[in-house]
Amino acid sequence: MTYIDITDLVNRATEDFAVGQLLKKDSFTLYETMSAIEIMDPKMDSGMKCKKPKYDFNSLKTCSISMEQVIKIIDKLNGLEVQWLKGYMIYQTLLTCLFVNDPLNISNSYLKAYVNGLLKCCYYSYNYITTAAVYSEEDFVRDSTGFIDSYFPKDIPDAEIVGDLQKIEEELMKKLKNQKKNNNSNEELPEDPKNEVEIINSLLARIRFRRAFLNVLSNFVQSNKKNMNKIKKSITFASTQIPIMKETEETINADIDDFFDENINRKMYSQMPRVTVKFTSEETYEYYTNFFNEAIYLCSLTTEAPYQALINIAKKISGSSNTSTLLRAILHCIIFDSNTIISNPKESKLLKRMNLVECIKEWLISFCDPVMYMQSDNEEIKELMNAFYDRYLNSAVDCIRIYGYNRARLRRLLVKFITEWDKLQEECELLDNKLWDILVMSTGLYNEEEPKYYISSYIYHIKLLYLEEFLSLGIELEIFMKHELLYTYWYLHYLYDVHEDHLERSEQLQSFSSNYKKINMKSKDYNLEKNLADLKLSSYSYLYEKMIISAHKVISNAYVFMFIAFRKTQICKNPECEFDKENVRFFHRFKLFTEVNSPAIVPYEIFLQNIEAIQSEENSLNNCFAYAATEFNNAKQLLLRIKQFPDNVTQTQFYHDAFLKDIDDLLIVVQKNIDNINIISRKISIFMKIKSMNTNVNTRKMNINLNFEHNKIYPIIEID
Amino acid sequence: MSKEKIVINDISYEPFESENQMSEITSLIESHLSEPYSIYTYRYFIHSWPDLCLLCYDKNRKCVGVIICKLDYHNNSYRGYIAMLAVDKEYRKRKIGSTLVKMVVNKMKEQNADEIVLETEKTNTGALGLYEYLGFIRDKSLPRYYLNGVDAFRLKLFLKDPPNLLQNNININNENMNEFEEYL
Repeated sequence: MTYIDITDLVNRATEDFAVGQLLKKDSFTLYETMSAIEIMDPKMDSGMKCKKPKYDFNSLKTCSISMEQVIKIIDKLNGLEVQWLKGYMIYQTLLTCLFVNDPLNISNSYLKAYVNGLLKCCYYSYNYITTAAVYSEEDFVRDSTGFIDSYFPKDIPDAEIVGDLQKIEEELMKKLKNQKKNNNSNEELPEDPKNEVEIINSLLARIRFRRAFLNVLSNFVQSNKKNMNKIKKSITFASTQIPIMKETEETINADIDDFFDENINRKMYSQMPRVTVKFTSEETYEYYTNFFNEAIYLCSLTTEAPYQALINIAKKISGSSNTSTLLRAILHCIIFDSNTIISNPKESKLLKRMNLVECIKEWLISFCDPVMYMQSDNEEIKELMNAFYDRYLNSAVDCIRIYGYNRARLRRLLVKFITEWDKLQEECELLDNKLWDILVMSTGLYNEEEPKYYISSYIYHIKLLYLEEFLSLGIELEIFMKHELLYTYWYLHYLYDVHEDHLERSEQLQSFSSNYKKINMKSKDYNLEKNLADLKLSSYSYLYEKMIISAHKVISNAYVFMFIAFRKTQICKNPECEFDKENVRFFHRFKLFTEVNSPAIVPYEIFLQNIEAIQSEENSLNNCFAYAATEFNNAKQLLLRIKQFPDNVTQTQFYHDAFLKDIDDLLIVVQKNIDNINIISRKISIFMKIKSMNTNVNTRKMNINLNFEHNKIYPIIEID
Repeated sequence: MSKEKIVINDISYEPFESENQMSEITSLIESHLSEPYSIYTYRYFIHSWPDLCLLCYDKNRKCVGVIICKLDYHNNSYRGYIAMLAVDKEYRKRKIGSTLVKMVVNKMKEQNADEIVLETEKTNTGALGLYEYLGFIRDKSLPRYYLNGVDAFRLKLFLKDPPNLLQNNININNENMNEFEEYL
């Protein structure tokens, strides 16, 4: 290639430029300006101030490393592994360690076994995350160059790596035994025998931890019952090592700076910005602990289960504060059998056994039991139902996949998702009409009856659940601010009210089905109770569904009354700036509801009318607090009853203990708010009396504190 | 382009005038924001929308505040974007930041903008307080948005009135809305 010096050409071409004037192509957009670097600017140019490292790969092979240094290198590697799993590039994290770049030539046998174990874990983690494909750019960086594969020891069998780690464990155990023996006989004592034992124990815990972690990751690939039991044991074993690692992390000191080089990536295929990835050991151990705490729930995923239970576990993992990209990816790989469902949902098996269409049928039966269509011999009905299952497959898969993504993105995903369900509902209404017409024609019955909307009622029920979640997430993700909570709870209450009505109506469909069976089918041919029992579902699920919706409804209503009182007393008020308009905010917050056919959007004017009507009532402050207390008490009664339902009704088979804890936490919130209402009401009335005597008193001095510690949507309200 | 200066409490608010101001802009921003920006980023904004870059000076002509913005089409809306805002530490708590934001908001309103957006670190309570006081709402949660791994919020200010849903004959489900009256 021939290079031409264009300095003179550029100088001449830019002679007429004013200082700072920039010649650029239209394609040089904001993205390009942000990606450009200034050469020789130390903040951007990774070549600046580059210190020559002490070791190259040759000298590294022969350098001696102390046991303390091995421990410290392991600790840093663990921290970097976690940062990689949290979204930093592998080149900025694990590959800044010289040993990780050349693992086969590590002279220290402890470190060599550990690094190979670590890289094998990374191999599994990388595969889970990229296979499940439920991550975004901020969660994980996929290596587009393909070079990452060369760093993973994928050709070394797991058994060999685990065996090497086991050998090290045995060697360390022997050393420990000898050390203790020597200590007792007082022979050949090292300078500090106590310290020596501690160092061996520390390394032992780290090696054990890595072996157990590798066992967990490798066994999830084959998620059969035998493997799940192995995983449970490994999780317990790894978890018991964490406190030892944590404890010894600070007591052992060694200099390891020369074994890491942030600039090493400059020599690699992929040029990365020089970013110093900062982390704390606390963050590292918290990640591992959270991973194991939650992974234990995945071990129960081997029993056959209704589809709703699978959605619920995906939802639980998504909403947990212990969640991570890796954990969600593993869950998706288990349920969807390494994601084959995406390419062929109809033929794929869930959990390697369950057919998705069968799952959809079960779900539909338990909701409204459209027996006249599902058990029909009529070819036209059969064809229409099959077309529905085919159309519905991808939406059903999305019901689980959506919870694989980072929760911060869930709200945005739900917007698209809900719009899709709205279209589906519309199509299903047409389908219901068509099915009904065929039924009337073929049976000669029900001419006087209104059409029954079985399928679309079921779709609407699910859509309402997602709409409720969409609004609740606004509170959970702290997108709605304090002064927006009144209209948020108010709208949530409206949604739950609509949902409660919808469930009442849908339940009647089951009665119609029951009558239909009496007239048209022999009891031996079809029995809903038997069918549900076979499916491990309960015919009482309506009672539970209605109760949980009612509980949310009364809790939202209690907050509405609390916030009306805060608004009236100006303890929580809108920003006093010319740009803030509550009606504009309201419209945009609930804009999604203008884009769906149902439920009907409730305009701001109706909200304001309702709120003002309550505010203007005589003695409205005391009333508001009294109504809030009543609603919290109603919620308490409902929650106590909800706790009594078995897990096959609540569909929480995979995490029933965690489900009960969530209900208990919500009961704490409800009870605390009942207790606090009296105090808040007293404080406010005293404050208002003082204010009426002295108009200069500023209500902003009174603050409401919202404590979301026990529940992410419903806070404990305190005032100071 | 208006080049008028406005003086409030001895602080002079002025639109960007020339490249000579570039070094004071970059040094003020670099010392207060975590992200490193190349000179091209500054020039992209300032040369394309010079009227939406405002500086403020104290009595001694020390540059103590700057705001850099753009106004462009984004999907179907004419969207303003506050790219950078920095106020010298010694000059904070004097409403310089909020005055700068108010000035650009008014300029964008004059130019018929539909909305204004910006990003700020979730941990930057000062910035969040300032924008929320001005009527911005949190539109999105952006995990690990910045190079240092910190999460951000996208904030948004809507400048246009919404359509009147009542007049547009939207079907209102009043039945559900009468609930409150039952309590009173």
